Amino acid sequence: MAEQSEEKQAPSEWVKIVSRNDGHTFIVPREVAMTSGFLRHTFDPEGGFMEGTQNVCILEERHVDSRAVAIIVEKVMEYLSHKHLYGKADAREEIPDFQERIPPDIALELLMAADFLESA
Amino acid sequence: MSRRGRNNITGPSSALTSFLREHGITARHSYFGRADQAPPAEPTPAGDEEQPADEEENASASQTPARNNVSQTSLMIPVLSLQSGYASDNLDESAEEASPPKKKRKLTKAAEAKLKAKEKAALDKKGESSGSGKRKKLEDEEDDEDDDPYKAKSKGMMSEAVGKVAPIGTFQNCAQCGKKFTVTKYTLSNESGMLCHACAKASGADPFKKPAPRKRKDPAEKRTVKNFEEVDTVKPLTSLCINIIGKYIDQVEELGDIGTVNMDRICRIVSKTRSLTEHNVRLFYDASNTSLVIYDATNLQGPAYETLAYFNPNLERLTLHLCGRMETPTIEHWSTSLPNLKRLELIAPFLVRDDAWLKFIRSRGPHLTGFLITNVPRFTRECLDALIEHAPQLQELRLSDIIKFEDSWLEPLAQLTNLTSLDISTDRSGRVILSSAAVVELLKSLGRNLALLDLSGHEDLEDAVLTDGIAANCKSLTDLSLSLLPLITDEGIAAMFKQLPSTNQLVRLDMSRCHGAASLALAALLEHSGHTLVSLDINSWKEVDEDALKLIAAKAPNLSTLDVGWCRNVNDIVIGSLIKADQTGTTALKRINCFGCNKITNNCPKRIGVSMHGVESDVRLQRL
Repeated sequence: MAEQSEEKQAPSEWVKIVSRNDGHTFIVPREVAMTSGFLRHTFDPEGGFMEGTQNVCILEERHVDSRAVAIIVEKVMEYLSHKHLYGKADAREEIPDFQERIPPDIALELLMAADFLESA
Repeated sequence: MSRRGRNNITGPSSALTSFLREHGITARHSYFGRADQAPPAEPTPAGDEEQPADEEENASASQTPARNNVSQTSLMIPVLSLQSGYASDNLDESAEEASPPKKKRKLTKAAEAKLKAKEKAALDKKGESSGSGKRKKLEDEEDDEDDDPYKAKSKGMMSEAVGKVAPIGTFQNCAQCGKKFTVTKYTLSNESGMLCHACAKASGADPFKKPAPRKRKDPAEKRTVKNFEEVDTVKPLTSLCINIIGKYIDQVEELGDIGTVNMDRICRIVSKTRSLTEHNVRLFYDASNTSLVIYDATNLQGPAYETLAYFNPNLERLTLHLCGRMETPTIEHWSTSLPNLKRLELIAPFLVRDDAWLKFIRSRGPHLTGFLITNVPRFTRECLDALIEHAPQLQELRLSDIIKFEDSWLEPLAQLTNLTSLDISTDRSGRVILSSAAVVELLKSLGRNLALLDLSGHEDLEDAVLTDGIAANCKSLTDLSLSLLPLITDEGIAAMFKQLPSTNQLVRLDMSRCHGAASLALAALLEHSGHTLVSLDINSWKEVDEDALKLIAAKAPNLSTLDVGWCRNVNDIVIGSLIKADQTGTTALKRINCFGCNKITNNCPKRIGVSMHGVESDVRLQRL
């Protein structure tokens, strides 16, 4: 049960995403993580979730549905950074194509992870 | 340039004339000899007083041709000429005269607006990009207006007329050489006065030379359309992945080890965004497939379905959602191309005609165990008869939302005694209305073997169906759907559950939108089926009281999905009891739907693993 802590801390600038299976941890700026719908709700301090106060989100295999969780999570983080950076760009600027940076052999698993994390 | 002569005859006029007339500018008075008017060459002092009024008039855009009245417009031109210091009684010059004051105004306005926009843009560069984008569009619009060939101020008009001190047609002395010359449109002037043609040419300024064209914005640049849907920005990761799938569809091994991936989940995701196309659907095809489900077949057209059959020849079970583009030839084709097909489920193949159904039923009928179609207006009585005749062993039947369905169809249906699953529900449109008596008769013959029964949406059904039909005849129900039946009552439902044999172990019960139901019904239903229920939907049972609701937790330990939407008496305590918040016991609940329960507050207990949908106090957290 998520217990709400009484102290109100200012939300920290960085959040941690942990891939439980292989023990990798990704530290990303909060804004970047908020690009994903799922993570936004997870880290929302008023959402009543534990992660809101502790700023750590643990992704397990059932979330991402693959064995090589870390690689998938890393790619998703890369995408979120990319989107955060270019999301506000002028329409005229050249936005590098992220599709080239996705190796096809993780495409299916990445699709499932992307859908789960609502990273549209 | 006096084209008119001295009479009142007005014939068809040139574009210029009509433009002037529109703006109420005319110099006709000068030619038609107004008594009180001074000779055309000189400005009229009488016009002086009218200045301010007329200036406004002229500056405003709408001038009706009615103003062309001689007496009225006589005031216009002299006024203008005075304003700008000219006497003008000639059409052309008046045209020019008319425009500069207006244009000056327009310029000023445009200049002002531009200034403002620039200021704002400067301020907002620190702010949201979208805001400045919009303002940029404003700026662009103004630029566009300037450069737009239709709206732009005429180039010709800009260059001349800004220094003339005499009306066209009059004689003037050249400032330089002193010669007398006729002032024309092309006369130039310098600081001291007007120059005759020779001097003007000598000074180098060619009056006939058009001014350098204003630098226009590159059309390509101007074409930036502000996409409010943000098409230009970063594409979602899901669509990137789907693109990759499409790209590598022919080298499927490149996509990694597919065997371990849940292809059904992939299919759902691809369908979610309507990205399933003829091209990437091949990812799901496999010669060894025995079962195929496509969640959104909208992008598949006629021949694609035949391809489906070629690639999956061993299919036994096929489910297609949203196959609205499937046509008659497909079903005919499948009569022969899917030799192992046993169960066919099609949602909305509304184009297929009855002859195709007949052909399919006649050829595949004997092998069919499941025939489930929804929303097929062309399924006729003849088709039904064929089905009964050729597929008497049918176990699963769904004829949901078939327009032609009616009471008389239930009679032949009664012959399908092997049915274990019968769904003759309909949507809310009320096009299909069955009567209680007919349904009861049907259940008398079929009820015994039915495990799934769905009669939702037939609004005329009454309590009799429940007691005489279901309770009396059904022995092995596990899945019962009776939603949207407004005529059935609380007592009726209670009676049904009291009467229902206990061999019916209901796992799933949907009685949503039966407004008559209340606490009696709930208590009775829990008493009967509580221990087996996994999914319960009592949405819109608004009268159910709190005590009955608390019974759910006590009597239905295996409940995994619960919909108590619009049950007004659901409050924090009820929810607490459901998820066993205070005790440390386990609960099987995974999902609670509680839309419209306004007694639930912010302090409503929560539990890990239980998702609650529809809590109103959470509205502010929802990104709508």
